[in-house]
Amino acid sequence: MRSRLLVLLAGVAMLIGRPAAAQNNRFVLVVNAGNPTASLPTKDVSRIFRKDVTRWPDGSAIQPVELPAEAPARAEFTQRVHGKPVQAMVAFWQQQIFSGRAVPPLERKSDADVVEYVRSHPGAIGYVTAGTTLPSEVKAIAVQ
Amino acid sequence: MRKPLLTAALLAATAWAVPAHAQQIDLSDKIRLNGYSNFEFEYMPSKQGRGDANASFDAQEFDLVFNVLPTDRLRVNADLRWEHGVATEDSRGNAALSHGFAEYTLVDALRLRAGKMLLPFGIYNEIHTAKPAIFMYKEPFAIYKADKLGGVRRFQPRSGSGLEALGTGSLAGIDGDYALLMVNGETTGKKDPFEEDDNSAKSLTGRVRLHPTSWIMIGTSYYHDQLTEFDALGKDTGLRTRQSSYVQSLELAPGPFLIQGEWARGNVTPATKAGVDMTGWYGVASVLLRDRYRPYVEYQHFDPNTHVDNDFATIVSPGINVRVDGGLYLKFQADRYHSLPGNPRLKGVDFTELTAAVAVAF
Repeated sequence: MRSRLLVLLAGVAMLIGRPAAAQNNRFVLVVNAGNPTASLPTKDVSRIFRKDVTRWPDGSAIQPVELPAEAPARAEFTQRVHGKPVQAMVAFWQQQIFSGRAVPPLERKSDADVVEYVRSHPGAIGYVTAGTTLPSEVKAIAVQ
Repeated sequence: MRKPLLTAALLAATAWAVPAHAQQIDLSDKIRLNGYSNFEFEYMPSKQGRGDANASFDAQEFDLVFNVLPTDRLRVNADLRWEHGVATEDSRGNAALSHGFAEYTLVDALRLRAGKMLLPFGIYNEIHTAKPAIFMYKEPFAIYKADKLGGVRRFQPRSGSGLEALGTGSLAGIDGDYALLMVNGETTGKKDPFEEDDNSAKSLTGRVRLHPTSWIMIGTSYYHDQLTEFDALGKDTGLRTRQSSYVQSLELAPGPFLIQGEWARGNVTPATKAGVDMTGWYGVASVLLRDRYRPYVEYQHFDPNTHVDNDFATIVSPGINVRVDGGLYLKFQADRYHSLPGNPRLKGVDFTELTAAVAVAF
Protein backbone atom coordinates (compact mmCIF):
# COMPACT_ATOMS: atom_id res chain seq x y z
CA MET A 1 0.00 0.00 0.00
CA ARG A 2 2.83 2.32 0.97
CA SER A 3 4.72 1.64 -2.28
CA ARG A 4 1.59 2.43 -4.33
CA LEU A 5 1.27 5.71 -2.49
CA LEU A 6 4.92 6.47 -3.18
CA VAL A 7 4.47 5.70 -6.90
CA LEU A 8 1.40 7.95 -6.97
CA LEU A 9 3.25 10.79 -5.22
CA ALA A 10 6.23 10.36 -7.57
CA GLY A 11 3.87 10.55 -10.54
CA VAL A 12 2.27 13.76 -9.24
CA ALA A 13 5.72 15.22 -8.57
CA MET A 14 6.79 14.41 -12.14
CA LEU A 15 3.64 15.99 -13.49
CA ILE A 16 4.28 19.13 -11.48
CA GLY A 17 8.00 19.19 -12.19
CA ARG A 18 7.99 18.44 -15.87
CA PRO A 19 7.16 21.91 -17.21
CA ALA A 20 9.78 23.66 -15.09
CA ALA A 21 12.40 21.26 -16.42
CA ALA A 22 11.79 22.42 -19.99
CA GLN A 23 14.81 24.69 -20.31
CA ASN A 24 15.38 24.56 -24.08
CA ASN A 25 14.56 28.14 -24.95
CA ARG A 26 12.40 28.62 -27.98
CA PHE A 27 12.01 32.28 -27.15
CA VAL A 28 14.32 35.24 -26.75
CA LEU A 29 13.62 38.09 -24.36
CA VAL A 30 14.12 41.46 -26.08
CA VAL A 31 14.28 45.11 -25.03
CA ASN A 32 14.96 48.38 -26.78
CA ALA A 33 18.68 48.79 -27.54
CA GLY A 34 18.72 51.98 -25.46
CA ASN A 35 17.82 49.97 -22.35
CA PRO A 36 20.96 49.33 -20.23
CA THR A 37 19.53 46.04 -18.88
CA ALA A 38 21.63 43.04 -19.94
CA SER A 39 19.85 40.28 -18.04
CA LEU A 40 16.92 39.71 -15.67
CA PRO A 41 16.17 37.03 -13.11
CA THR A 42 13.26 34.79 -14.10
CA LYS A 43 11.23 35.97 -11.10
CA ASP A 44 11.61 39.62 -12.13
CA VAL A 45 10.53 38.80 -15.67
CA SER A 46 7.44 37.13 -14.23
CA ARG A 47 6.70 40.16 -12.04
CA ILE A 48 7.05 42.47 -15.04
CA PHE A 49 4.71 40.42 -17.23
CA ARG A 50 2.22 40.10 -14.34
CA LYS A 51 2.51 43.89 -13.96
CA ASP A 52 3.51 43.64 -10.30
CA VAL A 53 6.57 45.66 -11.29
CA THR A 54 5.86 48.51 -13.70
CA ARG A 55 9.00 50.72 -13.58
CA TRP A 56 12.58 50.29 -14.77
CA PRO A 57 15.28 51.25 -12.24
CA ASP A 58 15.48 54.75 -13.81
CA GLY A 59 11.76 55.28 -13.06
CA SER A 60 10.50 55.03 -16.62
CA ALA A 61 7.46 52.91 -17.37
CA ILE A 62 7.90 49.27 -18.39
CA GLN A 63 5.79 48.39 -21.43
CA PRO A 64 5.56 44.59 -21.68
CA VAL A 65 4.29 43.12 -24.94
CA GLU A 66 3.25 39.52 -25.59
CA LEU A 67 2.61 37.18 -28.50
CA PRO A 68 -0.92 35.73 -28.95
CA ALA A 69 -2.04 32.92 -26.63
CA GLU A 70 -1.67 30.30 -29.36
CA ALA A 71 1.94 31.20 -30.25
CA PRO A 72 4.42 28.36 -29.39
CA ALA A 73 6.93 30.91 -28.07
CA ARG A 74 4.31 32.21 -25.64
CA ALA A 75 3.64 28.70 -24.35
CA GLU A 76 7.37 28.23 -23.78
CA PHE A 77 7.76 31.68 -22.21
CA THR A 78 4.75 31.27 -19.91
CA GLN A 79 5.80 27.85 -18.70
CA ARG A 80 9.43 28.84 -18.16
CA VAL A 81 8.83 32.28 -16.61
CA HIS A 82 5.51 31.92 -14.78
CA GLY A 83 5.67 28.15 -14.25
CA LYS A 84 2.13 27.80 -15.56
CA PRO A 85 0.38 26.82 -18.80
CA VAL A 86 -0.88 29.66 -21.04
CA GLN A 87 -4.52 29.00 -20.13
CA ALA A 88 -3.72 29.48 -16.44
CA MET A 89 -2.28 32.91 -17.24
CA VAL A 90 -5.26 33.69 -19.48
CA ALA A 91 -7.49 32.89 -16.49
CA PHE A 92 -5.26 35.02 -14.26
CA TRP A 93 -5.65 38.01 -16.58
CA GLN A 94 -9.41 37.54 -16.89
CA GLN A 95 -9.59 37.81 -13.11
CA GLN A 96 -7.32 40.86 -13.10
CA ILE A 97 -9.31 42.65 -15.81
CA PHE A 98 -12.77 41.86 -14.51
CA SER A 99 -11.92 42.67 -10.89
CA GLY A 100 -10.57 46.03 -12.06
CA ARG A 101 -7.11 45.31 -10.69
CA ALA A 102 -5.03 45.64 -13.85
CA VAL A 103 -4.92 45.36 -17.62
CA PRO A 104 -2.73 42.72 -19.26
CA PRO A 105 0.32 43.42 -21.41
CA LEU A 106 -0.41 44.38 -24.99
CA GLU A 107 -0.49 41.57 -27.51
CA ARG A 108 1.07 41.72 -30.95
CA LYS A 109 0.23 39.22 -33.67
CA SER A 110 3.71 38.16 -34.77
CA ASP A 111 7.41 38.20 -33.87
CA ALA A 112 7.90 41.03 -36.37
CA ASP A 113 5.16 43.08 -34.68
CA VAL A 114 6.71 42.53 -31.24
CA VAL A 115 10.13 43.55 -32.57
CA GLU A 116 8.63 46.67 -34.13
CA TYR A 117 6.85 47.58 -30.87
CA VAL A 118 10.05 47.15 -28.85
CA ARG A 119 12.01 49.12 -31.45
CA SER A 120 9.61 52.06 -31.26
CA HIS A 121 9.04 52.07 -27.46
CA PRO A 122 12.14 52.70 -25.29
CA GLY A 123 10.51 51.15 -22.21
CA ALA A 124 9.22 48.04 -23.95
CA ILE A 125 10.10 44.45 -23.17
CA GLY A 126 8.90 41.45 -25.14
CA TYR A 127 9.81 37.99 -26.30
CA VAL A 128 10.06 36.51 -29.77
CA THR A 129 10.66 33.10 -31.27
CA ALA A 130 14.33 32.09 -31.05
CA GLY A 131 16.08 32.86 -34.32
CA THR A 132 13.98 35.96 -35.11
CA THR A 133 16.14 38.58 -36.80
CA LEU A 134 16.60 41.63 -34.59
CA PRO A 135 17.35 45.11 -35.93
CA SER A 136 20.10 47.17 -34.32
CA GLU A 137 17.53 49.11 -32.24
CA VAL A 138 16.43 45.91 -30.44
CA LYS A 139 18.62 43.65 -28.34
CA ALA A 140 18.23 40.27 -26.71
CA ILE A 141 18.76 39.95 -22.97
CA ALA A 142 19.37 36.89 -20.87
CA VAL A 143 16.85 35.31 -18.51
CA GLN A 144 18.77 34.10 -15.46
CA MET B 1 -15.17 75.52 -65.36
CA ARG B 2 -16.37 72.13 -64.13
CA LYS B 3 -12.89 70.57 -64.45
CA PRO B 4 -11.05 73.10 -62.24
CA LEU B 5 -13.85 72.74 -59.71
CA LEU B 6 -13.49 68.94 -59.71
CA THR B 7 -9.71 69.23 -59.39
CA ALA B 8 -10.06 71.65 -56.48
CA ALA B 9 -12.54 69.30 -54.81
CA LEU B 10 -10.18 66.33 -55.28
CA LEU B 11 -7.25 68.32 -53.91
CA ALA B 12 -9.31 69.38 -50.92
CA ALA B 13 -10.39 65.79 -50.32
CA THR B 14 -6.78 64.62 -50.56
CA ALA B 15 -5.59 67.34 -48.22
CA TRP B 16 -8.30 66.30 -45.78
CA ALA B 17 -7.42 62.61 -46.05
CA VAL B 18 -3.62 62.78 -45.79
CA PRO B 19 -3.37 64.33 -42.34
CA ALA B 20 -5.97 61.91 -41.06
CA HIS B 21 -3.89 59.01 -42.31
CA ALA B 22 -0.68 60.52 -40.99
CA GLN B 23 -2.23 60.98 -37.55
CA GLN B 24 -3.47 57.41 -37.29
CA ILE B 25 -2.42 56.17 -33.87
CA ASP B 26 -2.62 52.87 -32.06
CA LEU B 27 -5.25 53.36 -29.36
CA SER B 28 -4.61 49.93 -27.80
CA ASP B 29 -1.90 51.63 -25.75
CA LYS B 30 -4.48 54.01 -24.27
CA ILE B 31 -7.90 52.38 -24.39
CA ARG B 32 -8.81 48.76 -23.65
CA LEU B 33 -12.25 47.26 -24.12
CA ASN B 34 -13.07 43.88 -22.61
CA GLY B 35 -16.26 42.27 -21.44
CA TYR B 36 -18.12 39.14 -20.62
CA SER B 37 -21.53 37.53 -20.83
CA ASN B 38 -23.18 34.66 -19.04
CA PHE B 39 -26.23 32.58 -19.91
CA GLU B 40 -27.57 30.09 -17.38
CA PHE B 41 -29.94 27.16 -17.06
CA GLU B 42 -31.18 25.70 -13.77
CA TYR B 43 -33.44 22.75 -13.11
CA MET B 44 -34.54 21.04 -9.91
CA PRO B 45 -36.02 17.63 -10.81
CA SER B 46 -37.90 17.31 -7.52
CA LYS B 47 -40.94 19.35 -6.48
CA GLN B 48 -39.68 20.31 -3.05
CA GLY B 49 -36.71 22.55 -2.33
CA ARG B 50 -35.48 26.04 -3.12
CA GLY B 51 -34.32 25.17 -6.64
CA ASP B 52 -35.97 25.97 -9.96
CA ALA B 53 -38.55 23.27 -10.70
CA ASN B 54 -39.57 25.08 -13.90
CA ALA B 55 -36.21 24.55 -15.65
CA SER B 56 -35.53 28.22 -16.46
CA PHE B 57 -33.13 29.98 -18.77
CA ASP B 58 -31.52 33.18 -17.53
CA ALA B 59 -29.90 35.79 -19.78
CA GLN B 60 -27.87 36.45 -16.69
CA GLU B 61 -25.54 39.27 -17.65
CA PHE B 62 -23.60 41.22 -20.20
CA ASP B 63 -20.79 43.49 -19.10
CA LEU B 64 -18.48 45.89 -20.91
CA VAL B 65 -15.23 46.73 -19.14
CA PHE B 66 -13.41 49.88 -20.15
CA ASN B 67 -9.89 50.87 -19.17
CA VAL B 68 -8.61 54.26 -20.28
CA LEU B 69 -4.91 54.96 -19.69
CA PRO B 70 -4.29 58.68 -20.24
CA THR B 71 -0.74 58.39 -18.80
CA ASP B 72 1.45 55.53 -17.59
CA ARG B 73 0.39 56.31 -14.00
CA LEU B 74 -3.31 57.09 -14.44
CA ARG B 75 -6.05 54.54 -15.20
CA VAL B 76 -9.78 55.07 -15.38
CA ASN B 77 -11.87 51.92 -15.13
CA ALA B 78 -15.56 51.21 -15.61
CA ASP B 79 -17.56 47.99 -15.70
CA LEU B 80 -21.04 48.55 -17.13
CA ARG B 81 -23.42 45.71 -16.44
CA TRP B 82 -26.80 44.62 -17.79
CA GLU B 83 -28.40 41.76 -15.88
CA HIS B 84 -31.29 39.37 -16.57
CA GLY B 85 -32.16 40.79 -19.99
CA VAL B 86 -32.77 44.22 -18.52
CA ALA B 87 -35.86 46.04 -19.84
CA THR B 88 -36.46 49.29 -17.96
CA GLU B 89 -39.90 49.92 -19.48
CA ASP B 90 -41.04 46.69 -17.84
CA SER B 91 -39.08 47.31 -14.65
CA ARG B 92 -37.18 44.07 -15.22
CA GLY B 93 -33.54 43.21 -14.82
CA ASN B 94 -30.82 45.47 -13.62
CA ALA B 95 -28.42 47.92 -15.24
CA ALA B 96 -25.51 49.03 -13.09
CA LEU B 97 -22.06 50.45 -12.86
CA SER B 98 -20.48 47.39 -11.27
CA HIS B 99 -17.36 49.35 -10.49
CA GLY B 100 -15.89 52.59 -11.78
CA PHE B 101 -12.90 54.47 -10.46
CA ALA B 102 -9.80 56.50 -11.19
CA GLU B 103 -6.50 54.95 -10.10
CA TYR B 104 -3.17 56.74 -9.76
CA THR B 105 0.07 54.78 -9.33
CA LEU B 106 2.61 56.49 -7.07
CA VAL B 107 4.82 53.40 -6.92
CA ASP B 108 4.04 49.71 -7.40
CA ALA B 109 3.59 49.42 -3.64
CA LEU B 110 1.05 52.25 -3.51
CA ARG B 111 -1.77 52.90 -5.91
CA LEU B 112 -4.67 55.13 -4.91
CA ARG B 113 -8.23 54.85 -6.12
CA ALA B 114 -11.35 56.94 -5.81
CA GLY B 115 -14.78 55.85 -6.99
CA LYS B 116 -17.01 52.81 -6.71
CA MET B 117 -14.94 49.73 -5.94
CA LEU B 118 -15.63 46.05 -5.27
CA LEU B 119 -14.63 45.01 -1.77
CA PRO B 120 -11.29 43.16 -1.69
CA PHE B 121 -12.72 40.31 0.37
CA GLY B 122 -11.49 36.76 -0.23
CA ILE B 123 -10.80 35.23 -3.62
CA TYR B 124 -14.12 35.80 -5.30
CA ASN B 125 -15.88 39.00 -4.23
CA GLU B 126 -14.04 41.16 -6.76
CA ILE B 127 -14.92 38.79 -9.62
CA HIS B 128 -18.30 37.59 -8.41
CA THR B 129 -20.09 38.94 -11.50
CA ALA B 130 -17.44 37.75 -13.97
CA LYS B 131 -18.62 34.17 -14.36
CA PRO B 132 -16.11 33.28 -17.14
CA ALA B 133 -13.36 34.03 -14.61
CA ILE B 134 -14.89 31.52 -12.16
CA PHE B 135 -14.40 27.92 -13.25
CA MET B 136 -17.29 26.70 -11.10
CA TYR B 137 -20.89 27.48 -12.04
CA LYS B 138 -20.98 30.31 -9.49
CA GLU B 139 -18.88 31.70 -6.66
CA PRO B 140 -19.24 29.64 -3.44
CA PHE B 141 -22.48 30.60 -1.66
CA ALA B 142 -21.13 29.52 1.75
CA ILE B 143 -19.03 32.69 1.83
CA TYR B 144 -20.18 35.00 -0.97
CA LYS B 145 -23.98 34.49 -0.88
CA ALA B 146 -24.51 33.41 2.71
CA ASP B 147 -28.08 34.74 2.67
CA LYS B 148 -28.99 31.99 0.19
CA LEU B 149 -28.00 29.40 2.79
CA GLY B 150 -29.87 31.02 5.67
CA GLY B 151 -27.45 33.76 6.74
CA VAL B 152 -29.00 36.79 8.46
CA ARG B 153 -26.72 38.94 6.28
CA ARG B 154 -23.93 38.31 3.82
CA PHE B 155 -20.42 38.31 5.25
CA GLN B 156 -19.77 41.49 3.27
CA PRO B 157 -21.45 43.83 0.79
CA ARG B 158 -20.36 43.66 -2.84
CA SER B 159 -19.04 47.16 -3.37
CA GLY B 160 -18.80 50.64 -1.96
CA SER B 161 -18.10 54.25 -2.80
CA GLY B 162 -14.92 55.72 -1.33
CA LEU B 163 -11.12 55.46 -1.36
CA GLU B 164 -8.75 52.55 -1.74
CA ALA B 165 -5.00 52.05 -1.36
CA LEU B 166 -3.46 48.95 -2.85
CA GLY B 167 -0.15 47.67 -4.08
CA THR B 168 2.22 44.83 -4.77
CA GLY B 169 5.64 44.12 -3.38
CA SER B 170 8.19 41.55 -2.36
CA LEU B 171 9.61 40.95 1.09
CA ALA B 172 12.35 38.40 1.83
CA GLY B 173 11.76 36.93 -1.60
CA ILE B 174 8.03 36.43 -1.04
CA ASP B 175 5.70 38.28 -3.38
CA GLY B 176 2.51 39.74 -2.01
CA ASP B 177 -0.25 42.25 -2.49
CA TYR B 178 -2.55 44.21 -0.25
CA ALA B 179 -5.66 46.37 -0.47
CA LEU B 180 -7.21 48.72 2.06
CA LEU B 181 -10.63 50.14 1.29
CA MET B 182 -12.68 52.78 3.09
CA VAL B 183 -16.19 53.35 1.75
CA ASN B 184 -19.61 54.55 2.84
CA GLY B 185 -21.11 51.80 4.95
CA GLU B 186 -24.19 49.88 3.96
CA THR B 187 -27.32 51.97 4.37
CA THR B 188 -30.29 50.35 6.04
CA GLY B 189 -32.63 53.23 5.22
CA LYS B 190 -33.49 54.85 1.91
CA LYS B 191 -30.25 56.66 1.18
CA ASP B 192 -28.11 55.65 -1.79
CA PRO B 193 -24.90 54.35 -0.16
CA PHE B 194 -22.91 55.25 -3.26
CA GLU B 195 -23.90 58.89 -2.81
CA GLU B 196 -24.43 59.45 0.92
CA ASP B 197 -23.76 57.50 4.10
CA ASP B 198 -26.50 57.25 6.73
CA ASN B 199 -24.03 57.44 9.60
CA SER B 200 -20.52 58.77 10.17
CA ALA B 201 -18.84 55.38 10.60
CA LYS B 202 -17.14 54.24 7.43
CA SER B 203 -16.87 50.67 6.27
CA LEU B 204 -13.32 49.26 6.27
CA THR B 205 -12.06 46.29 4.30
CA GLY B 206 -8.49 45.04 4.19
CA ARG B 207 -6.80 42.11 2.48
CA VAL B 208 -3.26 40.75 2.37
CA ARG B 209 -2.17 37.92 0.09
CA LEU B 210 1.21 36.22 0.01
CA HIS B 211 2.69 34.05 -2.73
CA PRO B 212 5.50 31.99 -1.17
CA THR B 213 5.90 30.29 -4.56
CA SER B 214 4.26 30.81 -7.94
CA TRP B 215 1.70 28.10 -7.10
CA ILE B 216 0.76 28.91 -3.52
CA MET B 217 -1.40 31.82 -2.34
CA ILE B 218 -2.28 32.47 1.28
CA GLY B 219 -4.61 35.34 2.06
CA THR B 220 -6.60 36.96 4.81
CA SER B 221 -9.35 39.58 4.56
CA TYR B 222 -11.26 41.62 7.12
CA TYR B 223 -14.43 43.69 6.86
CA HIS B 224 -16.09 45.94 9.43
CA ASP B 225 -19.09 48.28 9.37
CA GLN B 226 -21.69 49.90 11.62
CA LEU B 227 -25.28 49.86 10.45
CA THR B 228 -27.80 52.49 11.48
CA GLU B 229 -30.78 51.24 13.48
CA PHE B 230 -34.00 53.12 12.67
CA ASP B 231 -37.22 53.31 14.69
CA ALA B 232 -40.68 52.48 13.31
CA LEU B 233 -40.98 56.00 11.83
CA GLY B 234 -37.68 55.67 10.02
CA LYS B 235 -35.80 57.97 12.38
CA ASP B 236 -32.19 57.27 13.34
CA THR B 237 -32.20 55.93 16.91
CA GLY B 238 -28.51 56.64 17.32
CA LEU B 239 -27.98 52.91 17.89
CA ARG B 240 -25.71 50.89 15.64
CA THR B 241 -25.54 47.25 14.61
CA ARG B 242 -21.93 46.19 14.33
CA GLN B 243 -20.82 43.76 11.65
CA SER B 244 -17.38 42.18 11.34
CA SER B 245 -16.19 39.39 9.08
CA TYR B 246 -12.93 37.81 8.15
CA VAL B 247 -11.95 35.13 5.68
CA GLN B 248 -8.80 33.03 5.35
CA SER B 249 -7.95 31.93 1.82
CA LEU B 250 -5.65 29.26 0.42
CA GLU B 251 -4.98 28.45 -3.21
CA LEU B 252 -2.66 25.73 -4.47
CA ALA B 253 -1.98 25.51 -8.20
CA PRO B 254 0.78 22.96 -8.82
CA GLY B 255 0.98 22.04 -12.49
CA PRO B 256 -2.49 21.31 -13.88
CA PHE B 257 -4.12 21.11 -10.45
CA LEU B 258 -6.06 23.90 -8.78
CA ILE B 259 -7.19 23.56 -5.19
CA GLN B 260 -8.93 26.37 -3.33
CA GLY B 261 -10.28 26.64 0.16
CA GLU B 262 -11.67 29.52 2.23
CA TRP B 263 -12.97 29.76 5.76
CA ALA B 264 -14.99 32.76 6.95
CA ARG B 265 -16.44 33.89 10.22
CA GLY B 266 -18.84 36.77 10.66
CA ASN B 267 -20.55 38.53 13.54
CA VAL B 268 -23.65 40.72 13.40
CA THR B 269 -24.52 42.36 16.74
CA PRO B 270 -27.44 44.80 17.13
CA ALA B 271 -27.07 47.42 19.90
CA THR B 272 -29.73 45.92 22.18
CA LYS B 273 -30.11 42.30 21.04
CA ALA B 274 -27.97 39.18 21.10
CA GLY B 275 -25.55 38.93 18.20
CA VAL B 276 -25.30 36.22 15.57
CA ASP B 277 -22.05 34.43 14.73
CA MET B 278 -21.92 32.64 11.41
CA THR B 279 -19.24 30.54 9.73
CA GLY B 280 -18.82 29.31 6.21
CA TRP B 281 -16.19 27.36 4.38
CA TYR B 282 -15.63 25.55 1.12
CA GLY B 283 -13.03 23.48 -0.63
CA VAL B 284 -12.78 22.81 -4.35
CA ALA B 285 -10.32 20.58 -6.18
CA SER B 286 -9.89 20.57 -9.95
CA VAL B 287 -7.47 19.54 -12.67
CA LEU B 288 -6.96 21.03 -16.15
CA LEU B 289 -6.87 18.30 -18.79
CA ARG B 290 -5.65 18.86 -22.35
CA ASP B 291 -5.65 22.60 -21.71
CA ARG B 292 -9.43 22.54 -22.11
CA TYR B 293 -11.35 20.36 -19.66
CA ARG B 294 -11.49 21.16 -15.95
CA PRO B 295 -13.50 18.63 -13.91
CA TYR B 296 -13.94 19.59 -10.29
CA VAL B 297 -15.72 18.79 -7.09
CA GLU B 298 -16.71 21.40 -4.53
CA TYR B 299 -17.94 21.06 -0.97
CA GLN B 300 -19.53 23.96 0.94
CA HIS B 301 -20.62 24.23 4.54
CA PHE B 302 -22.47 27.13 6.13
CA ASP B 303 -23.61 27.59 9.71
CA PRO B 304 -25.96 30.60 9.93
CA ASN B 305 -25.77 30.77 13.72
CA THR B 306 -23.08 28.97 15.68
CA HIS B 307 -25.24 29.23 18.83
CA VAL B 308 -27.96 27.06 17.27
CA ASP B 309 -27.36 23.34 16.75
CA ASN B 310 -29.63 22.21 13.93
CA ASP B 311 -29.30 24.85 11.24
CA PHE B 312 -26.24 24.18 9.08
CA ALA B 313 -26.42 23.65 5.32
CA THR B 314 -24.06 21.95 2.89
CA ILE B 315 -23.72 21.73 -0.87
CA VAL B 316 -21.78 19.04 -2.74
CA SER B 317 -21.14 20.00 -6.36
CA PRO B 318 -19.38 17.90 -8.96
CA GLY B 319 -18.98 19.73 -12.25
CA ILE B 320 -16.94 20.34 -15.36
CA ASN B 321 -15.78 23.47 -17.15
CA VAL B 322 -14.98 23.13 -20.86
CA ARG B 323 -13.10 25.83 -22.76
CA VAL B 324 -14.58 25.52 -26.24
CA ASP B 325 -12.64 28.22 -28.03
CA GLY B 326 -10.84 31.37 -26.94
CA GLY B 327 -12.90 32.83 -24.11
CA LEU B 328 -15.98 30.62 -24.63
CA TYR B 329 -16.68 28.25 -21.73
CA LEU B 330 -19.40 25.67 -21.09
CA LYS B 331 -20.16 24.68 -17.52
CA PHE B 332 -22.17 21.77 -16.15
CA GLN B 333 -22.69 21.31 -12.43
CA ALA B 334 -24.97 19.32 -10.11
CA ASP B 335 -25.65 20.80 -6.68
CA ARG B 336 -26.81 18.53 -3.88
CA TYR B 337 -28.22 20.66 -1.07
CA HIS B 338 -28.51 19.29 2.44
CA SER B 339 -29.68 21.21 5.48
CA LEU B 340 -31.02 20.70 8.97
CA PRO B 341 -34.59 21.72 9.93
CA GLY B 342 -33.43 24.82 11.81
CA ASN B 343 -31.94 26.44 8.74
CA PRO B 344 -33.98 29.66 8.23
CA ARG B 345 -34.02 29.38 4.45
CA LEU B 346 -33.60 25.75 3.40
CA LYS B 347 -35.56 24.34 6.39
CA GLY B 348 -34.11 20.86 6.21
CA VAL B 349 -35.47 20.09 2.74
CA ASP B 350 -32.77 18.30 0.73
CA PHE B 351 -32.79 18.65 -3.04
CA THR B 352 -30.63 18.51 -6.16
CA GLU B 353 -30.33 21.22 -8.78
CA LEU B 354 -28.79 20.72 -12.21
CA THR B 355 -27.14 23.78 -13.72
CA ALA B 356 -25.43 24.72 -16.96
CA ALA B 357 -23.96 27.92 -18.32
CA VAL B 358 -22.47 29.45 -21.42
CA ALA B 359 -19.89 32.03 -20.36
CA VAL B 360 -17.89 34.23 -22.70
CA ALA B 361 -14.97 36.51 -21.93
CA PHE B 362 -13.51 38.85 -24.51
